[in-house]
Amino acid sequence: MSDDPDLDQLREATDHGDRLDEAAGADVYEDLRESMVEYLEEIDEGGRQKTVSVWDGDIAALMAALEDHPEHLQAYGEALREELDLGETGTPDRSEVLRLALRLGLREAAPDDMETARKAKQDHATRGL
Amino acid sequence: MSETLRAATFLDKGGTGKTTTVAHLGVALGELGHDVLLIDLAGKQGDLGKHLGVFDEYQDQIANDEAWPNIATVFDDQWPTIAEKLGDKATADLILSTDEGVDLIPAHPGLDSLDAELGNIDDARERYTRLEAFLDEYVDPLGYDVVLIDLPGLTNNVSYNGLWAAHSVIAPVEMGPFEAEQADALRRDLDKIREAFDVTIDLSLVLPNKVDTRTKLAEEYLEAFREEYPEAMAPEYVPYSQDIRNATEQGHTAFAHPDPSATASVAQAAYLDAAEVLVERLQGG
Repeated sequence: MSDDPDLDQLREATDHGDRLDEAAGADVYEDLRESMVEYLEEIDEGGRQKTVSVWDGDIAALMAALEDHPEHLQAYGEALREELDLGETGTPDRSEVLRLALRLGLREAAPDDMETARKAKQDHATRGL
Repeated sequence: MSETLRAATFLDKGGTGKTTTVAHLGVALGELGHDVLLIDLAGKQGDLGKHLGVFDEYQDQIANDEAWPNIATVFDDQWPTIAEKLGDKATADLILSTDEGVDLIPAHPGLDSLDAELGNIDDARERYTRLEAFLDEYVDPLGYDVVLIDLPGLTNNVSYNGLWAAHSVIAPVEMGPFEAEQADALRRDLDKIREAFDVTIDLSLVLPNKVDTRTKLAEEYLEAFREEYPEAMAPEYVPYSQDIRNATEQGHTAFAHPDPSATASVAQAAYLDAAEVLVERLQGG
């Protein structure tokens, strides 16, 4: 990798392998998409919880402190909405801040996976139309 | 020479000796004193690099993730931005020196998906002129006398780019009925390109190779080709030579053979003659 982030992006966008490699790469996302569509169906049918739990003492303490200081919670929430280009208004709560933070983190770290998740949601939403 | 001459080997048929022809004509041009660059667009297998002994070196670069940018990158619409950021080394890094006096831009696995990517460009002229733009802007300033391009043995977006960029075709042919048909088809293709896009692509050299004149049929085909392509025929045919096959397997051309056989010597002379008339024809002589 170079010291120039723009050049790294150009490289990522223009560096192609052969078709067999690329087809194998596409299959990986296809499997992920299908899997997510299945779980979305399970959730719809009540066979799976919609909650996600994490064990993390530091984050738990931060969230508790933010709830004690709502102006900071609001600042976090609004910053996350802005980063994610969400037009939502109103006072963000603890749950929304966590949800958006997870989403933003995953999108930054693994944009292809998140794009696949978006397609899976789209597939699920348009199923049966 | 002040202007870089270009030609591409093409025939819509596999196994006619295109890559062997580019390697040997390239080295022959070098022997005649020209500064030569070869470009391998013939497919990810990188056969031209094998002929010239640089295949392993480039495979190592690919394995070590050091082969970017590469020949496939120059077709990307982002190439001018990449070249601007990397400066002079953008194009210089694409080129390998070989022990046989010619330089090479080797094939890269990215060529495999290139045809489909070019197919996504809606405007036909834009789709077929990416290589020409690269040669005009980035290769011609390097001052090579001749650029020879090895194309895939089929008609696709990559081979059209090569034909369009070179404006000049070398058709290596074997002496058989299918080659005659393919050479006719090539001429029809060139006419079609001329009509559709107002671009003239000349058939500059028809080079019979792997000719076994012990068979009467080969002599007859040779004569038929001479009648059909009097202006494009090479002065001599290249005879079948086991030395050429062996040389290829050992990663060099027949010119590097220390003690060439009689047929290899005849082949060398035929390539040198062909190289000489090719330059004359490319110069409009």
